[in-house]
Amino acid sequence: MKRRTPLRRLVLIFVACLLTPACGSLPRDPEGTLQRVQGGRLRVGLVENPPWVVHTEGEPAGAEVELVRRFAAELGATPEWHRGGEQRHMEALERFELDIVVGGVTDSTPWAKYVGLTGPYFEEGNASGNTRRKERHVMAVAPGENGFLKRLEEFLARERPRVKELLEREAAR
Amino acid sequence: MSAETPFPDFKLPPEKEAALRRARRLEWWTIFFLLTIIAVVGLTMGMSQTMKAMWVEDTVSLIPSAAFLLGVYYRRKPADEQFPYGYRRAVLIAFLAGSVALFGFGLYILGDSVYKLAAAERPNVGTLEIFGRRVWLGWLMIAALAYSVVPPFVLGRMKLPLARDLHDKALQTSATMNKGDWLAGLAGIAGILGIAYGFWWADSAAAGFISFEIVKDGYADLRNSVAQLMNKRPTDVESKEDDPVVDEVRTALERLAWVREARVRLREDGDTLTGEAFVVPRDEQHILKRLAEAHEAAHAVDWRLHDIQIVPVPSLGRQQDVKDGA
Repeated sequence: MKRRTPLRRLVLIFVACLLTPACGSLPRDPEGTLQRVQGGRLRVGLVENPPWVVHTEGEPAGAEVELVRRFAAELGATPEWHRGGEQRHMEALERFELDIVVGGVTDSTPWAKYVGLTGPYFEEGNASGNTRRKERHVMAVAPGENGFLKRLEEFLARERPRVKELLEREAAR
Repeated sequence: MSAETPFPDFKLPPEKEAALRRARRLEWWTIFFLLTIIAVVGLTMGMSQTMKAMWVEDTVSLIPSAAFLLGVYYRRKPADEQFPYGYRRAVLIAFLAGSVALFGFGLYILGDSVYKLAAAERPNVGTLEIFGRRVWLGWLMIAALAYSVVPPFVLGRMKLPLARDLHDKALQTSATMNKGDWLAGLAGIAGILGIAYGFWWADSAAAGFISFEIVKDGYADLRNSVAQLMNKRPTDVESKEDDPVVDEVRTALERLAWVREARVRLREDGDTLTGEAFVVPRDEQHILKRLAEAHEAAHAVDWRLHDIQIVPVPSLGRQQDVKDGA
């Protein structure tokens, strides 16, 4: 069977690829979000939703605002805050005019079809006290920017244990 | 009613029995591996259009294997009072239903992929935590697809010679399906690699290619099953060329000294061939003995021939005239 050799080679390449750092830079973003943001601006859409996003006189506050601030710092990026409604922000995200939208978005958002969502990084019982149906909090990114999405998910996975603390600090204010 | 079968029963030649046993074993393995593939692909599916197409492809490819096993089971049931022609054709119904499903699902995924390409919908592929490390789901998809390539590649290649040996179209279809499976798997890997390198359209393009293959398979199967239900004349195992067996039976009959001319009509009944042979005798002497002789001569042409009726007629009549243009 001659035909099996190229197949085996393909598998080998694949395994080798998994182990080399070259694949660490994959997936790439079709619009190059991650590359552009590093050392540049991070355009953030804020939808007021305490305790996640709180508008104040000066700099915005809230648990998710704090998370985004840390994420931006990690990328060496300067966050650029845009306040507004969810509809406007999500549409801007779809057109790649924003990089990230926060504001207590959960994985049941109807925008899931149009933008990219991170995996849930925080869970709580929903507002009506129903603990069976949890609210799983996510952040929204531009559609198909998988490299940026991966980087953000890695960041959120690391921050996960500290989210509760952030929320408590927010409640104490 | 006696316990004996009221109508003649088909016995596979002993040397073919071994091949059939092997084919059945291969089909059971195919079903086992396909189920594991369906599970693995389903678990890593996510939002990818390619993975959705692959999952459908793998699920519907259970049909030919299941149809073959079902067919072999029913084939063994002897004819009875209620089904005097036996149960051999039962599998054609399963086959027709399967090909309609294949064709329909293929069209659906094809339409969906074209729509997603036109609407420029971009696939989001996130990460998953495995053993404390964040792994991009795309790599898991590729691993799942790589796994899905191997069993159909090996099993399909093992089935092809058996299908030829047993002249079994159901087995042939399942082998062809396996070929489609591993081809689609490779196309799927290309699609996911495309996403990895930032070509968002690669996903829907690969899915389009895969579903086009599904539609093609579905259409071919649909044509075949309808043709068999309509008693089309026998063809070779790939359904491409006419089987010479019809002419061979006619020649064998015309070689008998008392036969002036003969005309043969055959159809496929699963793996067997059945039908009628009309013979015009030169005279009517010893007609019963001669018919028994003709019966034997006809059946000796090919092991697949079964239950051929020899019908003595005064002339071949109009049908023959029309065909010969006489």
